[in-house]
Amino acid sequence: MARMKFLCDTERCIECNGCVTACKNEHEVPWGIQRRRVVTINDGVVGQEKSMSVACMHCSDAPCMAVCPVDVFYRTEDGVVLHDKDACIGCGYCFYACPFGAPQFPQTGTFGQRGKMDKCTFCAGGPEADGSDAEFEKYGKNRLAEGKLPMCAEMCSTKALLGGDGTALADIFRERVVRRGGSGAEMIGWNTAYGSGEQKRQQTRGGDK
Amino acid sequence: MCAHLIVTLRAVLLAAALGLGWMAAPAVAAPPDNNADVYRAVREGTAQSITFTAPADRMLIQSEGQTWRQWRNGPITQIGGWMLAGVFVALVLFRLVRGKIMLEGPPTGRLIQRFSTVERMTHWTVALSFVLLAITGLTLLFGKHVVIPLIGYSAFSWIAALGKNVHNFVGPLFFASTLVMVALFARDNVWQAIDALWIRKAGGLLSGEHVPSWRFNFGEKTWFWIGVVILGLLVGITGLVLDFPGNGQIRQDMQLAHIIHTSGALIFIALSLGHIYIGSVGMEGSLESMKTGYVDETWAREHHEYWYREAKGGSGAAPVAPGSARPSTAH
Amino acid sequence: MNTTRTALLIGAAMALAACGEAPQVTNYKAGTYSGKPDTRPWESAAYGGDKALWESDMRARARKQTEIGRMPPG
Ligand code: HEM
Ligand code: SF4
Ligand code: SF4
Repeated sequence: MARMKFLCDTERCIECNGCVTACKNEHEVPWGIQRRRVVTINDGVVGQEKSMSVACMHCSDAPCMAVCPVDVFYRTEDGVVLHDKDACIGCGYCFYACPFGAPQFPQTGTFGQRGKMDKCTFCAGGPEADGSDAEFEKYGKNRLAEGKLPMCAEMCSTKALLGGDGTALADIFRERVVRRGGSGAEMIGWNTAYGSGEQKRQQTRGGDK
Repeated sequence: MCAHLIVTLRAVLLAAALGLGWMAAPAVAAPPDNNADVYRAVREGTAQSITFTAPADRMLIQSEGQTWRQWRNGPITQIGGWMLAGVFVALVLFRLVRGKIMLEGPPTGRLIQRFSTVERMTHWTVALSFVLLAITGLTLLFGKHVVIPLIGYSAFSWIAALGKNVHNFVGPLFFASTLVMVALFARDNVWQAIDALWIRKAGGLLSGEHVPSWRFNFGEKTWFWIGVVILGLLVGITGLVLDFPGNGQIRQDMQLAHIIHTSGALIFIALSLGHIYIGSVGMEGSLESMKTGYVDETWAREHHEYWYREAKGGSGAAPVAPGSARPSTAH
Repeated sequence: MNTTRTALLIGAAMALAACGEAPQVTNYKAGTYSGKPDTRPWESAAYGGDKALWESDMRARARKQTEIGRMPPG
């Protein structure tokens, strides 16, 4: 059973923004919305400058899901957090709650008119029939249904951004860290996204798989 | 909106947040590793560089979102829900114990004007917009627990979308009419010496005794200052912060505004239940006064004796109540 | 009395609102589906419901993201 996650290796990310562009292109994301962004930490500080690509992390105990007044979110067996745009009222609560700033809106929000929330779908579309035009228009391509992983990760030139089953990603990452002598061992964002929820579950359910 | 206002507002909200016991994110011990500074910067939510202007700000991880979620989904929903239920039960008990407050004397048939047309129109604008805002706001907060289990989320989303739009467009009307109301009613709501008697006798609410007062008694004054003025402006201003994003307020400001807005609104609604009860089904004749602007002389004499005497051309200050403080001449 | 009955109904709804308060935690439990009707990725035309095939494909694809093992050792 896969548990889909994203992992960005800050030792490798070169801030090329290829993932951002690939995502916009693959899904024909609406104007003004960028489902993924690259943040450079300590820009210009020698030896401390690191970049990281971030989008929706598909959290285990997802704050967006918890606060949505209309309950539009759902989660697949593989841990992907999806939402039903038809029911979204554009209140912006998911944006307040999300640690990663993932939910975005096509309108400016005067009088609370934000339009339907848009965020990364892990290339898994939405409730509409897989691969249908309706699904594409609202959520973009459904690559998971074609047996492919998210576009951003699959095309990352340095393979800094990884997407897929969390265990597989952690294995790859561990091999790398060992090879490079232990540097850059943190999985930034993982504790925020997957920490509390899955740890809590393991405590309460005795660590079932 | 000018940036200055935003900065001041942010400072005010921040001060309020400290009062609320806003929690800082728990510190995590830095891992022994050469990137310690990088991760510290991320954890502290420091603004970083970004190539494209992303709609979200430059913060990589904002831990405040989780705090906001815990406040809203936790104490605000739970305590708020129980508080509203509790106030309702209290009113039902009051009704059972005390019954409807009736006129004691027979109506004279002679009417005195209590509210001008402008006053009544302002009152009903505030009242109608308040009720709409309360219903739609509560729908957003409790709909997930009460309505979705009954009709499902797709059907509920229609109600919620309608409610949200009503809320967001009626909100500014409520705010504007509240300002007018404060201007109109403030003068007659200042403290007057006779109010001390009302406090001592708890308004005669349980004993049924009539405590004299000027135009507004201390109960009405409390509702005016705590409800209309303080809560009305607090809920109104934070509502405007939420309603018009993109004027300089960032996510954290909006979380704070939301917490204050919703807590204030719930207290406001709880108080309003008492006001609505006594102004409608709880007391004979009070609804008439705001509907028509006129009250019967008997009602005026029983409920607002000084005001009644003054309206009849006297000085108003007849020493009726035993041991009462000397009536003020401030009027 | 009509108004009283309405008031009672509103009150009952509010009381229910407080009682119906469910802990809003959305813990992910491995392999469980929570929420809305949607087709699973392996129910697509490409997989026709073969979940095992889909899963092994995803695993293989995830492993392709590392160059270690594809490079000569060194
Ligand atoms: C100037 C007046 C007001 C404005 C501009 C305003 C605006 C807002 C906005 C923008 C929200 C966020 C949700 C959304 O986008 O729909 C909100 C939520 C809310 N408001 Fe207001 N509001 C106002 C007055 C009131 C009043 C008078 C009440 C109560 C009597 C109230 C009760 C609530 C409640 C309960 C929520 C829901 C909070 C939640 O779901 O967590 N508001 N308001
Ligand atoms: S990253 Fe944000 S939008 Fe994505 S699941 Fe977590 S809280 Fe929700
Ligand atoms: S903006 Fe839409 S998805 Fe986000 S919390 Fe509001 S209704 Fe839910």
